[in-house]
Amino acid sequence: MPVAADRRMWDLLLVLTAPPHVDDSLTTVLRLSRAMLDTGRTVRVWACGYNTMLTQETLAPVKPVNLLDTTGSYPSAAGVIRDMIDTHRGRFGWIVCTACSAERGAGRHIEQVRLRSDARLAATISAASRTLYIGGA
Amino acid sequence: MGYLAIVDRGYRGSLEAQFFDALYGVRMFAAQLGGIDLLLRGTSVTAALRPTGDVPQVTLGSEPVALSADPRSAISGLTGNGATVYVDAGSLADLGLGPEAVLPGCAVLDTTELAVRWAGYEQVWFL
Repeated sequence: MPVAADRRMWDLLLVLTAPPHVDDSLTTVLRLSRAMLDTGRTVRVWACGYNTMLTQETLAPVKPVNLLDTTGSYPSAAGVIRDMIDTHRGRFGWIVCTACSAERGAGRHIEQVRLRSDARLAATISAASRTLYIGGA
Repeated sequence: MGYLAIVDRGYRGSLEAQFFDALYGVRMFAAQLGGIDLLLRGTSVTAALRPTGDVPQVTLGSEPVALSADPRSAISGLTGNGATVYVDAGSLADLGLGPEAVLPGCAVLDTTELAVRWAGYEQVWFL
């Protein structure tokens, strides 16, 4: 008789398909995540589409130099995501969709993120108490 | 003659863009091309608004979102270098605002009147 394995449940899953550099969806997702984390809850983000470009290993933790303020240092999105995961170990997760990633040639990602096939989206949704889908791809 | 850059949308990614927004591009290209005039329409007109009190800082938890763009200083930088910055009156009105709401040095004009001015430029860019 099959026995269901204990599965960890997350308080919130945010599925983000709205592309970055178009509107403030990514900023909103990270702000919402951080607000949840600050109240002690757990959050996972499923990054689809062009969001899979944001966590590539080849991206530096800081953005290219600001030529109008060469002394400034600006964290890249990869840097912000990495720091959020490191600061909230086990409570904040970032999943990169492997299909979207491969479609865009985003091969290697920072070690803090988890790679997952889109075939596991339903399983990921069922492992969250609540899912918000931020569409717009 | 010269260049006119038209920006129709503001808020294109606070966290991922930071300083690297459309107005940064205008300022960098203006330095190379001997100047670019700017036309703000749609939600981008908010870049030219006078501050009314403290400007709210976008935060991630209790921390500021990196170093978010400072559109007002970008507009002041352009006008300070002699560029003309036009603001679409209709877009301002859509937000319930009038010409008095914009920074000094910006010209608030009717949409049709702005379109007529395109002919005075060698190139018109949509950013």
